[in-house]
Amino acid sequence: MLGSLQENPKATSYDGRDDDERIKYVIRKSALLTIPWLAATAILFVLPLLVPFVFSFLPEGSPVLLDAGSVLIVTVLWYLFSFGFFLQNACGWFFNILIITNKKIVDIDFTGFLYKNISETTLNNIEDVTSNVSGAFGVAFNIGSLFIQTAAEKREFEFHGVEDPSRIRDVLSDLVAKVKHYGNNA
Amino acid sequence: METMPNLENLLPEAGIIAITDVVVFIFVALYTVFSFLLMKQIKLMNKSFSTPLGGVFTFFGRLHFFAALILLLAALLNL
Repeated sequence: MLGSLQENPKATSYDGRDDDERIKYVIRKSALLTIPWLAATAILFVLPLLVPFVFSFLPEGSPVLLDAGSVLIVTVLWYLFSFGFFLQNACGWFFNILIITNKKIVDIDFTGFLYKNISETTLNNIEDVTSNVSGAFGVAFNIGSLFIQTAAEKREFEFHGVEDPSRIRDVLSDLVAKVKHYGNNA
Repeated sequence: METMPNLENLLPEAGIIAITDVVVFIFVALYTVFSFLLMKQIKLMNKSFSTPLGGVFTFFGRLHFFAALILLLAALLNL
């Protein structure tokens, strides 16, 4: 369920799905790309433990800036913020997806709170699928990008940071070939 | 020789604490708005793409917002 390429996902749908439309694949970024923000979350949770150490360097008789109540509130706020940071990143990773159905591809993008972008095109419109793996990290872990050229108004769909992009390219190309040959029930 | 005035000379300690309490309250209030927006964003994400795991995100989004709300109340009482 948390892999980069999810095949025939159960009980999954998207806004605007037709009754006769089946979701064949859900593609999201590699789980390896979650490591930076997972590490940042761990650091955020551990950081308050260093506060007594930092305070030990303050000179005797330094002015008190916070009362006990505020110290407690700031501490809880910090942990809440750390959790919020984790939750926002987890949602960003989980919900930024490319859906391939038996009829079309749907690209769902969420960036922060203020940006939501959903693009879709029918499989018949897909002209060319390219996969790309670059950089030391990409080559080491087989993580790369997918570029889908279409004949639709939106010329290109890009999806970065996917695991095994060649396999996804192959799967998508085969599906497009089938749909162009046999129609949407392929 | 003139000495530099420090915070303690300008304001009594109780005054400093009152100011920091207000600052803490403002931060908590801003954070509550953030948590509300996050909860709404999760709802929107679930509407756009529904999956069995969507309920988990909704639960934690709500939990996060209500925790922020309780903290806001605590910060208000601390003023």
